[in-house]
Amino acid sequence: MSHVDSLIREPLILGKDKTYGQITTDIVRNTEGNPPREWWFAFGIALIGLLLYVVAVSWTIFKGIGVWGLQKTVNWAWDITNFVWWVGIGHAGTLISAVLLLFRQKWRTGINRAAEAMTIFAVICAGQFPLIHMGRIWQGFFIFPYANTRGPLWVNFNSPLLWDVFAISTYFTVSCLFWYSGLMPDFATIRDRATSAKRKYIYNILSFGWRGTAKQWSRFESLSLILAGLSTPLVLSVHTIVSFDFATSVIPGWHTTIFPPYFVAGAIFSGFAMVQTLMLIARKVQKLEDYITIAHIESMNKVIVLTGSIVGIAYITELFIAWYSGYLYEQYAFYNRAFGDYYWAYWSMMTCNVLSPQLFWFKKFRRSIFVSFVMSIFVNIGMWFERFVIIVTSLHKDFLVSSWNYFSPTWVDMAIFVGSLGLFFTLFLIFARTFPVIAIAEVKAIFSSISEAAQEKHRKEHNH
Amino acid sequence: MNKGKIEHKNYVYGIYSHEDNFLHAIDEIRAEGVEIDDAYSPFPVHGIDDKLGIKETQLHSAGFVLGLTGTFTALGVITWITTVNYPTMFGGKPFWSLPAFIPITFELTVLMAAVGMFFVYIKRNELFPGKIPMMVDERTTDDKFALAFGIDDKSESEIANIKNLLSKSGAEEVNTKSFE
Amino acid sequence: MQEKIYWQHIEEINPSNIVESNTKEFAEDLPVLQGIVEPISDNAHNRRDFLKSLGFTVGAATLAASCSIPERKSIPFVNRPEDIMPGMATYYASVFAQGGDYVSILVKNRDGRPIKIEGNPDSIISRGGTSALAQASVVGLYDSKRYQNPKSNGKDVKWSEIDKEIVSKLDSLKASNDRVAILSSTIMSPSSNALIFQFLAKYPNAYHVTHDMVSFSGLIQATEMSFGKKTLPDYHFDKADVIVSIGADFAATWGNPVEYASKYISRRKVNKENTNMSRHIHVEALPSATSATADIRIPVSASEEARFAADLYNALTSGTASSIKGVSEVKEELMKAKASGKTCLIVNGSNDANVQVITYAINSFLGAIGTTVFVGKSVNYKKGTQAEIDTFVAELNNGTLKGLICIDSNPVYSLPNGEELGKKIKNLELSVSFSDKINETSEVCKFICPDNNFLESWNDYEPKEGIYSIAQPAISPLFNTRQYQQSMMKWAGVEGSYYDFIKKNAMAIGNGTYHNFDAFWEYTLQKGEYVAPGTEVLTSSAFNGSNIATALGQVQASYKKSELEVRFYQSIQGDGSMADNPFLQELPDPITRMTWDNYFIANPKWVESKGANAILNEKKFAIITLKINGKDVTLPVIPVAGVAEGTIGVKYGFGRKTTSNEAYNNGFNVYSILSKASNVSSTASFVSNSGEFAKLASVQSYFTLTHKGLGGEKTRNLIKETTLSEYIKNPESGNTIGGKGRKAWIDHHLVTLYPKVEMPGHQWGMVIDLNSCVGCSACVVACSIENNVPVVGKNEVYRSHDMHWLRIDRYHTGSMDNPDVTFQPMLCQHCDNAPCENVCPVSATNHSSDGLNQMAYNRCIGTRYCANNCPYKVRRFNWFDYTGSDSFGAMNDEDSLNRLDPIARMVLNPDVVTRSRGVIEKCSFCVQKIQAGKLEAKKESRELRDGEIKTACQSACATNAITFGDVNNKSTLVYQLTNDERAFGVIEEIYTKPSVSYLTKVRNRDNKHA
Repeated sequence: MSHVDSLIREPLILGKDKTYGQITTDIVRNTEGNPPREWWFAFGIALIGLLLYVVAVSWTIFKGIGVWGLQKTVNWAWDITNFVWWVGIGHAGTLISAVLLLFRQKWRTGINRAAEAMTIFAVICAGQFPLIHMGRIWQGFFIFPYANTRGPLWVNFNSPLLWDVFAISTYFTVSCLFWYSGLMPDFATIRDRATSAKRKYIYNILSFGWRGTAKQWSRFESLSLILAGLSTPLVLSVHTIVSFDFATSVIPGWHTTIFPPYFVAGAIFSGFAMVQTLMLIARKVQKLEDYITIAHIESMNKVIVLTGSIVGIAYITELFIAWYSGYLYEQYAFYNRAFGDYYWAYWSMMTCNVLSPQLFWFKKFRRSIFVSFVMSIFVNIGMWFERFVIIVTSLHKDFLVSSWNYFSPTWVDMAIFVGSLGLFFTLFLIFARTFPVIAIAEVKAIFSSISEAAQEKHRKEHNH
Repeated sequence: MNKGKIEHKNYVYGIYSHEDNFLHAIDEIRAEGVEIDDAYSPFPVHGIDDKLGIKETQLHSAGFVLGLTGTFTALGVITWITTVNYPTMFGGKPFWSLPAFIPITFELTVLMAAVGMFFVYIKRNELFPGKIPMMVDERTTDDKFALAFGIDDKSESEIANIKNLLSKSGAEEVNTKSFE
Repeated sequence: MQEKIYWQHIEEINPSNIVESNTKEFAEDLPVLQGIVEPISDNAHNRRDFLKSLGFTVGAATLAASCSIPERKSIPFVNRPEDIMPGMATYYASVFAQGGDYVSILVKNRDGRPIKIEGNPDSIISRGGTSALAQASVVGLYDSKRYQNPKSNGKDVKWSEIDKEIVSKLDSLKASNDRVAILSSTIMSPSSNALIFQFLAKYPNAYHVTHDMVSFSGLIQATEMSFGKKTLPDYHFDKADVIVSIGADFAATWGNPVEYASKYISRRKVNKENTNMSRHIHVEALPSATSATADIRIPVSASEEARFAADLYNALTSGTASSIKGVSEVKEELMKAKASGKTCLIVNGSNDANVQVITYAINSFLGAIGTTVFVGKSVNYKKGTQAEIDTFVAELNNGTLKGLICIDSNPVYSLPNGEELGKKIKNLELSVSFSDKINETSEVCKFICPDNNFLESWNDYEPKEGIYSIAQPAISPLFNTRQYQQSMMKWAGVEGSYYDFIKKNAMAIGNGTYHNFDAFWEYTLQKGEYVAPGTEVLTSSAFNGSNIATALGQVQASYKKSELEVRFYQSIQGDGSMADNPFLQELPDPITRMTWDNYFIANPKWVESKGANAILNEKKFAIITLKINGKDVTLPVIPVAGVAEGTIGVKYGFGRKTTSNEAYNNGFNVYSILSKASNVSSTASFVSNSGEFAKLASVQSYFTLTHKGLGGEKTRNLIKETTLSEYIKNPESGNTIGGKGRKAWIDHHLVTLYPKVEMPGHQWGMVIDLNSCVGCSACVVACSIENNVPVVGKNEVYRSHDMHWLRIDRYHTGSMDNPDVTFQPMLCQHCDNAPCENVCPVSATNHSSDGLNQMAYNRCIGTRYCANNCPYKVRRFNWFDYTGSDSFGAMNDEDSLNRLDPIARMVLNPDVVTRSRGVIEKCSFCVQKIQAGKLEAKKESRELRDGEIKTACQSACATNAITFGDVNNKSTLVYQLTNDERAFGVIEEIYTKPSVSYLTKVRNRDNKHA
């Protein structure tokens, strides 16, 4: 028996004469034939960024961390800022596919595939930084608890940094599995449309020889449901653990119990913003307006304004607690954030993360492509500054005034950050041209869940 | 109902282009007492399992067991390392400081459950990179639905009956397919 | 007592500063340190660099992970030289004497290499203490840039040849009876003096001139005028109840600071039993390390400082009022002391004979002569007088001088307009330099007869009449050098070796006191010092006041207050003769916390009035020009609290144009602009503010201790102090946390969820007495050398990449114009609840069972998380390959300081590994010494004795400010001190449980006691 669906809710798929076949074509089209000029242009730029990244990182490893702006007082700055920023961005995908799946939010189907891809690439970028920020990256394998020839020498299970290793790698693995299990049927679709034998062969390998029988589908659904169930606490745990890097320390401004929820909210916030940015570009370039609709964009914006406000409250709570603690080191740390040497970072963070998203209380702005795009950029900038503020302003003036210091980045710091964007977009653009950027099967599923009659009505409405 | 395995060389199958007719067809044909060997669809069709009488998969139980394994492996190994194999003092904490071990234990639980399940999944679904899929009709991954019947062990009359059942149930095409 | 306002620098007193720098920031919101990477990265990274690095990165991981690093085989002795036990240190008593410092030392030898200087506890002068200079001196031995052969006209020659040439020159000059000057710095060696005497006998046309870079001519003359004896007086700071120092930084740089400091501090230590603390009033123009420990500090301008003694004398004798503030105050004080029969001591940093005569007069008025000041047995730290220099310079200029022999002196650098003199010296018929390294003078000399390093030489010393010490070589000469005495003997035709010569002289001294000479010789060699009977009996000849009237007149006449005055001073970095010692260059000045440079220091108000405020965040300081003695001097100016208004300070010892390495040529040579070699101050005028900025390598940025925070103004109690009277009332006074007494607060507040971890056995702990630290920084150098801590160079320090394991934080208290300064030596606190240990992912840093916070360098992967989480910020990261111990060989391709040179590396302590690039390092409580001590005790199967194990910083300290030991053992001194009411831990309220305690600083503020 097929679902009875409400006609009040805005349709999730637009466009006239949509049929299953049409859906397939619309989506698979982008993986066939030569990429458009825009794509080559974007890809070129991304590659340049990637090159910059390789150069800067090689230089760092060759000369030593000293080529960065770090010093005896501020031992972390852009490196870990970038790490946390990327991990945060890496939250949206899994959240969209997992949590929204559990909440039966059908609108996710339009965006989850791309969002998951973005997650994976963001986590890849994030994973770079804990590695390259090591003074001796060639000894990096020490962080794994492997039985070794140095006698029973193990890692330190008390260290949040070690927790990170486990959290990030687990998160990455599970996201990949989740993503890929969803991809198999769609690869099969591409395979079966393919005309050239070579293409057929490749996509068959990718599809693991998917057949699409009832039994496979039933296991498929049960797998995605359980993976979703597992990913939900996982996605929350990851940024919680990242926040432990700071929360478990003694440094005023880091040593804060509010961090886990506050970081998670921030992560979702930035993640959705990044998804928004990519979606808005993709739907234009890939002509997917029918699948990524204004309705999707609006729902995203709702999440953004919500999480943005949560983050805002967190900021204010921090200030209040600092004052309320009566503990001068704490009090000064936060005073210094707002009015100290890095006040400009603090206030850009406040503007981008807390003030500007409030626009989204108005439907008009929520549904404006332009506003959404600008805002998504804002949020990403703001969230980068949030991490910078937390890390650098807390470190540069901590307990002993004698060691207070001022941090300024070098060209290498900057090159590595810009370069990591290059890495990210290179991966994403390749994905956009070779993978089905929208989960075909799932879209068909929700399309079908609109009853025959509804589909008729739906077509009529869109015919004139 | 088969176990999702290909048991036959030759198949008769009918193609449907809408989910509803496809589902009705299943009912009608099974009502005639004819077992359906395979039902192909481009997306998970809701309620098809009961109609075909497919038992619910045990995947989640596998997940649960594997998850527990993760939990205990993590706690066990950490405890052994920190208290037996190489006790080291950190920041005035006792050797076995449980709170600090929780994050890793949790992560390992999730990791083992997820990875394990994925492998169980591809095993049971006979998925493997490069595996040649035995499909009666390629369009079923695009916009068509298909019901397939193995006929190696069937007599001419039975085959005729199946064919006619299919067309009666509204199949747009009724073809035969044979795998070498 | 009510809360004090603590601050470190002008930040908050100068709000305009903050505004200024902030707006600047806003303009270019993220200032990129472009070019900062350059010096390390060999300016532009060209294609080859890029390819190199690319290739490297690819290979790196695999290489390091798979390939083993090539083994270096160490070959054992085939026949072991006696008294060299591989792996065992041997100690040789010797002497470090330089620029007035006399330090009796023990040279630590490992496998035949001197690697460390320790104080000689048996010395009755330096009493086991050392100075930063002494500690650093060992590095000079292993300088591959030393002259390795004698040179004649720039060519390497044989000794025999150069001897022939020089002797023939000498003879011809003798024949033509042309003047030959032997220019030397003070020679404390009786044998050398005897030798020079013989030389002069052979060459009557020659004469000996003594020239001290930082001259004490005035004091010596004054002594002659007032006591008829050409010597320095013998000060006994331990005998004085009231000390008034007028511009004399006696505990750190003036006279023989090691001796003075140890005696002075012996009267500054207080505890419940002994509160008989001396009172110290310090009158000065520039803040100094010594005045930091003073009870009262009176800032006066340079000219007032010079006139102060005169006005004080008048005030004391005839009650005349003075225009100089502080005079009456000091007079009251002294009168009171005199009345109550307290012993007084006035020392004066001036180098003007008249001023010193008056100072003597005051001393005699207060009855100090014969109680705290003694002019009896001669004191030989400094001998140079202005008159000798004047004749020498005159003769050099008018051409009567034909020959010059420079012994351990560098006139081209250290005399006014030395460069002019240099040209003259170039044209002399005979010019010989004994310098062991290239310097401004050796550059212009025809003959260079490189002297041995003092660690390669035999010598004897008589710092004070009756105290005789022998310096024995700790290693045979590394290069083809020859002790200058040996050369002189050759030329003077004295037979035998200098060693025999010394012995012959010693005969006279040791005569009779021991049953035979050898016993005396052995004893002295071993002990380092021999004290002739009766030396401890101190007598003083009477003061003859006949010159007072004239002196007063001349002082009043010659020192008029002018609008801008400049005071020249010496810092712990030395007088310039050791400017090519990287460890001294990188040693932060105790007051300005600057390295590698000299600069003007001025009162912040003045700096602001000239619009020359610094950009403190970026360590940029305005470059200004002053006219001093008619010459323009352009240097960056640093606003320093406590500098008297209208006075500018600038220190000697920089601007060495010719050294073995460009890197040592920093700042400006102050000697070159002195009007007289002996001047310590002069008038000046402001010329211009260039509007440009210089990047200076400061190690402590300027921020205040009192902050406007969310909770309003609050002060960080990193420093705790009290006054003597408060202390007598309540020993825990000043030692408070959040207003409550410390002990009470701790017991009440510090709680944990975890079960208490029992720590049986040894628990190492340290106590540092803030009262005893004079900021001399000997400990810092000692630590660096003992633990192979790299020097990183000016640019790296500028980038805050300095590596010191032990630093001396400097905090100011009170007003901008006259603050109290407090020094706080800061090192790894070895916390029992160490925040750094928890966060290391690879267990590279963890806690040892005897309470050490230990580092496993080869396990460290350099996440720097520990350094972030250290509340004391004492962990240091190897940003580059500073030590050449990298897995991939030296990545530090341009080693600008030449520290990777194989000879330079011979000074490394084999007991301590050098750290490779990318690992964290920090103070280890000298774990190598702890282990050695334990082993020693184990071999003798006995308990460790208290004080048996001394850390490097502790043994270097002249004032015993540092106590180290086992806090689990109730019998130890460190245990008592740790549980003393004065003991506190820095920010212990965050429950790190530091193993290092500090004792509150007690100032004898109100003159109720002592």
